[in-house]
Amino acid sequence: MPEPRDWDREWLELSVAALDAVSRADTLETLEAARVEFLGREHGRLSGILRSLKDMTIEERKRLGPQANALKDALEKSIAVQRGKLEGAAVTEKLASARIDLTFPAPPWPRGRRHPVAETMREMTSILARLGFALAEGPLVETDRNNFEGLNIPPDHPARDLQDTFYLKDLPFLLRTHTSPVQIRHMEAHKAPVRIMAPGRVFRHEAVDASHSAVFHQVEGLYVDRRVSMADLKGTLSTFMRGLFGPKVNIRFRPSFFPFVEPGAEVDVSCLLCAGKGCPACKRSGWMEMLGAGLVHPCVLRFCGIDPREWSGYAFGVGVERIALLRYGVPDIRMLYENDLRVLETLAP
Amino acid sequence: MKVSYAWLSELVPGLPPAEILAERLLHLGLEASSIQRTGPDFTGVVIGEVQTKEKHPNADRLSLCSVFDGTASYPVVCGAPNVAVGQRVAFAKVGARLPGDFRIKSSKIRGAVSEGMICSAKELGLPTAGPDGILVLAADAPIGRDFAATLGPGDTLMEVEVGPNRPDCLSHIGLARELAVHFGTQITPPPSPAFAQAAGPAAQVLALDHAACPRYTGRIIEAVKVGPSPDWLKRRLEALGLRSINNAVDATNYLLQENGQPLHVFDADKLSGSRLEVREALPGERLKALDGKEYALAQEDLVIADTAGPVALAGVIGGEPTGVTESTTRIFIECARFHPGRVRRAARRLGLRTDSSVRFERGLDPAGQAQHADRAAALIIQLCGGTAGPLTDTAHTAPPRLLITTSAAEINGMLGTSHPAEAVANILRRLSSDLREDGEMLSFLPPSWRLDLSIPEDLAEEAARHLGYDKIPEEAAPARLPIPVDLPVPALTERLSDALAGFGFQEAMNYDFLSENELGYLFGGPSPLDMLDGAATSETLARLLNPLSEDWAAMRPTLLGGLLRNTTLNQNRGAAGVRLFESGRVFRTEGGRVHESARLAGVWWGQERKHWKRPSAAPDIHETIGLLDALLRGRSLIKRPGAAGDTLFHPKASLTLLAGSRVVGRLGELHPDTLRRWGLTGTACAFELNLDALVAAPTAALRYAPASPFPAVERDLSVFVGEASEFGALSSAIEKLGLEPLSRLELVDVFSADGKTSWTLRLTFSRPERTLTDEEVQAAMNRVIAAAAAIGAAPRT
Repeated sequence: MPEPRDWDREWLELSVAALDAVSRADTLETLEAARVEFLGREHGRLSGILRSLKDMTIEERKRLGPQANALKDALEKSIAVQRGKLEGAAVTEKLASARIDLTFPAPPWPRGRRHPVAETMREMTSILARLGFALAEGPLVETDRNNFEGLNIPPDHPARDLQDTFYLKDLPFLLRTHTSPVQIRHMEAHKAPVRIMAPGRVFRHEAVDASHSAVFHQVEGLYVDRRVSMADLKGTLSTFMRGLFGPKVNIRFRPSFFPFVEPGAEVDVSCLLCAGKGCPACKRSGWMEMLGAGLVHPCVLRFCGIDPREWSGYAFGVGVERIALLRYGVPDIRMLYENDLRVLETLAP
Repeated sequence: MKVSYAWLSELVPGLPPAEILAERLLHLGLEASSIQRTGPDFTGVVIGEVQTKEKHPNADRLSLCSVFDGTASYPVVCGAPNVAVGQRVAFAKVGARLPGDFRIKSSKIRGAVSEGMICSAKELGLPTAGPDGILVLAADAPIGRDFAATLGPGDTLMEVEVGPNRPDCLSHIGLARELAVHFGTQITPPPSPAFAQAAGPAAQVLALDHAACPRYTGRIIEAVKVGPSPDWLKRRLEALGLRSINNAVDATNYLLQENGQPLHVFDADKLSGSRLEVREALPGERLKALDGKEYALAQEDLVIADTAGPVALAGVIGGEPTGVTESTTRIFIECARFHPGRVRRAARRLGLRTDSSVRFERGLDPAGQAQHADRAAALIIQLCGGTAGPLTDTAHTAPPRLLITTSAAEINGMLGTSHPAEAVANILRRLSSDLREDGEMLSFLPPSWRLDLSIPEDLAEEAARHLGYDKIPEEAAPARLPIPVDLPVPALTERLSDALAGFGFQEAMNYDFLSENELGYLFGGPSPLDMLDGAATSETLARLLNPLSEDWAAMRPTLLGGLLRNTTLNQNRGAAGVRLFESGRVFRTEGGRVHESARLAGVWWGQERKHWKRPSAAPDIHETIGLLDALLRGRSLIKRPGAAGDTLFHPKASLTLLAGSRVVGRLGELHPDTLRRWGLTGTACAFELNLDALVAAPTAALRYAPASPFPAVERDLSVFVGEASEFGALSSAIEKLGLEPLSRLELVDVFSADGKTSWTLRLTFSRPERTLTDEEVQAAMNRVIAAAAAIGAAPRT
């Protein structure tokens, strides 16, 4: 009969050896070797003891079972702690030896940009959309009826001089000189009430120079409802301009003539560069001409089949390019249509 | 219109200073775009006489003069070569102030004392017509007189912008009336001396077409002496930028500036026959005009004709042969009203925009002609002498003036103001001598010269102008809001544009026109261009009647023309790679209409600059397909290979995108000929989408689909393929198997060596409800291998 095992001594030796091996492990490899030596499934010494529990007497099992499991837990915990230490040390060492030249040129990620005019127009329409204006569109090739006659500009009217016009060859059409024909189209189709904005391209037959383009963009606004007044127009435009240029901007109305509105107004905003103090950009007046506006002329309403005794409205039109030029400090409007990438890249974030 | 402040002041007493007046005018809607002071801008300059002149002892070019100012003589050093003893000169004494705040002090010039300066015209800020050097005055100029005083008072000239609705403001009296209303004063009309009018028959004028010539008045002045105008008249005209011609012609020009009525004077002895006629020009008629040019007249032109032919183009310009010269002794003065449209058309057609035509086309006071005719006769008799004949007058009917009925409440309602009723009524009272007030009701009869007033809105503007646009409050009222629905095309344009910017494309904006050259580049080949909504040929181009230049020959049938122009420009300016896109309309004529189509197009040319971290990717067809796939994800579009005859795109490296049977776009590499014509090196890819068609294309509805929590299995398969093999054949053969767990098929490697090509496919298998077993995956792979082998793609082992 073999000598009974001295479990207590064996146990003590095993515990000491195991914890010692773990704490002495100074690489992840030796730590893993220690784990295998004691906890390895097949040949681990502790695993062996645990496995042999089933051959023991109930008393021994009761005594040794919890002891063995406690040692196993302690050992696993201490391996995890040691592994954390070693891994941390490895990272620290790796970082210490790393050499990264942060001044190396980074590769450019391709980043396109919207055109400054599109960007400006989007900002304008986004503000107007928040003020409750719905988007409306119309064709660029228009009829005299929609571009002029419906807007109270009959043939031979001297106001036609204000908007020199491109005509199509062999066809009874013209290129719209303003976005106002959208007013006619929309009111004829939808009657009152109407609250729309119409951004888009317009064409004027005039010589192109640094501040004039024969092709440019406008944003039109139209509101027709009951009892719409100039005060309503002024309040709305003030909000619009402050949304666009900042809360400190002021507007003023001056009398002006557009055949399709009455009363008509030229709307100035306090100079965006000098805040109204007077500078060369505003010709020392403190104001910048920004847009034309007024109450929709009763003739226009009637033309569209809307009874002017029942309905009234306001309309306004803003040029987009001028705002883009001001905003980005572009000296020449032609640069906006040349599409030189070196220039366009400076004009958007 | 050029306005003399001095003249205006004579007509409206108590005007504020010019700068303040300009500010008031701005707020009346009559902007003074320039204000310019004229007249002497100096003090302390007197008329002196050069008594002695000697050479300066220390300077060859200077003289030492003594100048007498009537009481004493002063030594003066002068550098002008034209100074001479006995001249009367403008002498700036010590203490004088010259323009630019230049003060004259006693000084020593090269050792010689100089007590003052003999001035040149330039130094005094006066117009210099004569030779360089000092200003030499008339021999009888009074010595000792203040020189500025002899020049008359200065003036301020304003350029006032008058809108097309206010022809009544195109004269000094007109502006004066406007200001009198504004300031609540009365105008002082210019004195017009009475004249005797001879009895007897008046000159005969026939004006049968009352619409073309509603009124023609005229009068002969006998025994006139035509000669130079007096100084006051010359000065006034010259101040307004008009050349003095002779007293009779100057009188008409002066009166045009005074009251806005264009007049014309004929030499009555040079008119043939006994009567004038206002009629349309006859075929072949010509007029030698006062500007020295000869004009061929069109039949729609309205002319004044004697029995020999046209003597004036009505309302535009008079004829030279019948013009008034120094030898004229009998004058016929025309004071008429012509149809605005007739004058406008003639002036525009002949490119002859005169002070007269501008006023006729905008509209004259229909009640003014008789009165203005008398004023003209009075002034001509005052200037040229002579006796007036009786007045010829064809018609007296002025269009009826319409009563406008409104109320202060209505006006306040339009303006959103709360002006007291009395303040509103007061403005209307000043505007018209005929305002009837009946309780709240205001009945307003516009004055004859206010052609622009006909409805209550017009009176609201009058009240607002005179009471101040700044009194309109900023009060946005609660608005009835529309349902915020997006328009599909603009919304899609925005989304795709933002996506393209994200892919590294810069947005461009081009004019809507292409030059003949560019059209040639586009239409270089024999076949019509596929323009996404029908073929485009040079016949379907929308052309302009009046293009600005050759660059604007036709409206663009494609956005690619502009983008290629931009690409070439950037290439030539040193860009390494260009990615541009644009959205906009293109144009095509069809059956007498112009068809507009919303487009989005892009061009990708050249290689990005080489970078240590990035391989340099060149544009090619597969990259472009990938770009469009990413851009248009979620739309079921069919890709059809490009056509063999294509001249814009590469016939073998391009695709047409279809939604059902409708073409929505094209993409691909550009045809080598296209590149050559546009001067582009290397390769370039492009795409153009028809957004009107694209918005109509069905899109897959976005629905939630669960992501499988079970791991997917990836298997690679390499196959050898023949040279003519198409990947599409292989992928569709695999797709046809309908393998349920196959969730992705990728081509991860292409390898060619020794005349053999191998493709490595990566197949991903997964099931949403469980982990796949090896056996299942292997079974699927076996089927894939068999399918590949069936089309000649042998597995590489």
